[in-house]
Amino acid sequence: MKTLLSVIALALLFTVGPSLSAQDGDLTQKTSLWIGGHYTTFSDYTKKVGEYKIGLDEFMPEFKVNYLGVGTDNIFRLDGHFYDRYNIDGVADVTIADQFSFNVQYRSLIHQLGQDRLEYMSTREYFHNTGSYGGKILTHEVLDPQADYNVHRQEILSEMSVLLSQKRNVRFYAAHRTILTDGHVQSIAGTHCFSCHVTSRTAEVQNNTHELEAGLQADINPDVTVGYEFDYRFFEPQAPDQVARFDVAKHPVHGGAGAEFSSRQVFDDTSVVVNRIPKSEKVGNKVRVKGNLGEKTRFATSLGYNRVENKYTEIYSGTWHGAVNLSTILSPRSRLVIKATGLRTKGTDDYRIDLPVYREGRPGPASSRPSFDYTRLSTLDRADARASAEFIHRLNPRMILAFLGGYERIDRYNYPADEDYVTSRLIGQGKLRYRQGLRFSGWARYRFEKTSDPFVAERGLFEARGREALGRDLTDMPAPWTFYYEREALHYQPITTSPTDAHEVELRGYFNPNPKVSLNLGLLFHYDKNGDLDSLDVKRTKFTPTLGLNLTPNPKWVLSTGYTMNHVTSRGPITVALFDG
Amino acid sequence: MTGFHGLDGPRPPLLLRWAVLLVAAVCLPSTALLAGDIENDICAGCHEDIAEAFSQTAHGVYFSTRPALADYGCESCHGSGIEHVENPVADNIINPANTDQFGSSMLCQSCHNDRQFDDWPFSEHHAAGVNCASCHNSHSAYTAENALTKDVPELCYDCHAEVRAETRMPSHHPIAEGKLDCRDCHNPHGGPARLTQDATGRELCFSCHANIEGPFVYEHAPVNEDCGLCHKPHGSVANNLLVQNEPTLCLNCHAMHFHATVESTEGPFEVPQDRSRDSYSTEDGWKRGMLTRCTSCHTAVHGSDMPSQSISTGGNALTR
Repeated sequence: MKTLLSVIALALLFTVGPSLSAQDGDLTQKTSLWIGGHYTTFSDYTKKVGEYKIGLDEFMPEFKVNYLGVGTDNIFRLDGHFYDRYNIDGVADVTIADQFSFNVQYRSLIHQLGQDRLEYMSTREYFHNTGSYGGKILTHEVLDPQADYNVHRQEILSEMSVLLSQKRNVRFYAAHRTILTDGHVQSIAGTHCFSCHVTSRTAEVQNNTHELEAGLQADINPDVTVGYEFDYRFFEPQAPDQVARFDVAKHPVHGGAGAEFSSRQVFDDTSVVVNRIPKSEKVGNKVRVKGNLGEKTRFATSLGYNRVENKYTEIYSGTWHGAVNLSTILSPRSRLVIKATGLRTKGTDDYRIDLPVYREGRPGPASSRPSFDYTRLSTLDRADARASAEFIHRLNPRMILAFLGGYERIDRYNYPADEDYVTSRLIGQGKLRYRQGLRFSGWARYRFEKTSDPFVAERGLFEARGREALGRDLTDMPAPWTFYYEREALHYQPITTSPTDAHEVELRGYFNPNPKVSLNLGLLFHYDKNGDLDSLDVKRTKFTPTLGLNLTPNPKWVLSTGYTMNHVTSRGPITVALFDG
Repeated sequence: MTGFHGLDGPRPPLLLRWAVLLVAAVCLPSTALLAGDIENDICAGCHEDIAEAFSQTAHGVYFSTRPALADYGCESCHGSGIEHVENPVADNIINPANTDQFGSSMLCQSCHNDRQFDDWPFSEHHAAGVNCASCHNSHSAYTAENALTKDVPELCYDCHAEVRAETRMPSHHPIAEGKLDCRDCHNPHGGPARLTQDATGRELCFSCHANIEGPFVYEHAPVNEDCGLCHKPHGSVANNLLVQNEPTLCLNCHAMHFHATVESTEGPFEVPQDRSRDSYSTEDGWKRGMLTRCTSCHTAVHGSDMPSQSISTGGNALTR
């Protein structure tokens, strides 16, 4: 891949007034305006390299403005940055009489996606031992080779808070967010010939997300605060659906439409929608209670329910979620923090899949036209429980020792791989923290996670060698045909390369020989493996040494520099060979 | 002797004082810590540079412009200075920067008691011994937003340096470009991130990427399990924040496409020996085609409402 050759960025042409400060009665104001520019050019690069940058190959002016006004009753702040027309950021917030605050933020970016030339999709088989072409052929076609694919994302976030009653700390708060994405992407669409002929075209993107959150909280007594939150989100794609034409299924060379093409008849000679994103609507409600239990314990709990609905198909997923957090002082030297969360998600699991009849209209006996309708089971149907307890003890004024124990469990109901598929995880962590005043602090940490039955894809991974029974009843099938889909149950079984044992060690130290110099050193080592697949030697390691240096010669200047290396190795088998069709 | 925040061992009466402070904070959220024993000017006599800088900070400006807060002073945060004035050594005055879980995070919360701090006692930062002064500097006028000692994310990288490396990888969220920062996904004070209600990472991701939440008729199981199974949110060497490049990632769970198989149930996959035709039909021909990017054909990898034509998967091949 030919990549980026040069990136030139020129900035800070001139600066006007580092800041203008003024005191007018009770109003203190600070204003600064920054005017500069940048010049960015790329040469012979893929868009992915400059994923969030655009190389206009011309000088672009750039502005920043900052304003802060502090009065006796109010604070107003305004920050803005114009980088180019795709990259504009701004924030304004106001606080009045410590009772009302409002914040609005705008930010935008461009995400350059580049174009896949599909050049790897060009190949053809040979007939065995003949040296001549034959068998499958795979080609590609880029229908819009000059397209420049990118998506412009804009986000507007506004938040407000009102203190309605100071005595009871009654506060109303609300937030609204709009995310707009528009642009064009490369859509690689397959017709029923897509096994052999792949085409790419330009697809429009125009997605709008609106989300509203509002809540109310109040102290019902000096020790207990209650709150309620409502959340509503609506997502709507506004770009027109993409439609692809599925031609008459036939052999691309001799035009035959034999049994080998019969599985392509599903969308035979018709136009169908491809790449459609559903509208969705989410509604959430949540109650919170926090406070004190006696003089030594604080708690925070929540209980809520979210429901997300696909507005096209009307299928949904609903989630009950709750959390309990406790922090208690066991002794003047010891604390205990207990946290527990739980989720129960249930999706539409009785959705009926209505597929066209296989080989309908094609030659052959009726018995060779089985129905493939079935009831879809949702992998969303699950319960997730997590709990941890951390004991924190001060050994002496400089050292703190902490132990954490945790347990997590995921129950998946009606899971295709196993009807009641459970993953559980034990977590243990020990940490020793040392602090010598402000001059040195550091810690050593060890953590392990022991997982039983980690996540496995619903369709399995390896051949189930030795399995004698096929997954389907083939008595009605025209012998001697054995189709791919019939062999899957025979050849697959659920195995995962996700780790069952994970270990992590972290060492970190912060040195502050004087208030102007700060140095931190760190080392992180992670190792995990799948103990169930020891014979396959599945393992991963991560090694991350770090170095950071902060220099503060005076309060106006801070120089920060650092070095981090992230070395990751991964070893694991991918699927073994199956069959050649 | 530091006493107040217990650095020198068990001091029950002082802990009780903290409890009273906490209750006072809940009952009287806008009530200030009481005025102290020592005038600010006395402190400024020795700590002139700090006093000068403090007057320009958000706290300094805030206190000075509100008559009701005129009594706020150094002792509001540092405790009584009587002993320190008589014997000016470091260990007889409270230094909030030098505390931990057993110290004075509650001190700041006596005024900063918004709901955003509700979960602080249960947060990972609190458990790790991080205190307010670890990230915020109330004495310097030259701080970042919210009196942070540095801008985010550089401040966070001081401890989470491995994340800095990840955000510089070829595929990354636009953190280095300044379009996102850590607080868009993480709440440094504990509790859920912005605009998320439950505790799942999925909901956090879907709050911005609502287009892939569905729920879909044809599901992809890992999407309903955990986005982190396939994606590294901070950055990755693989495209689209994938933990591994395609097809390796996909082949961790799925079988090879049959035409890319190197062996078959009927014996080895035989290839032509004519290497002059290396543009097509080399021994790696089908492997190149089928083992490069699965999502070229399986475009709806996060889920779809429309059946794929492949009947062998029950329409669930996620090709459209």
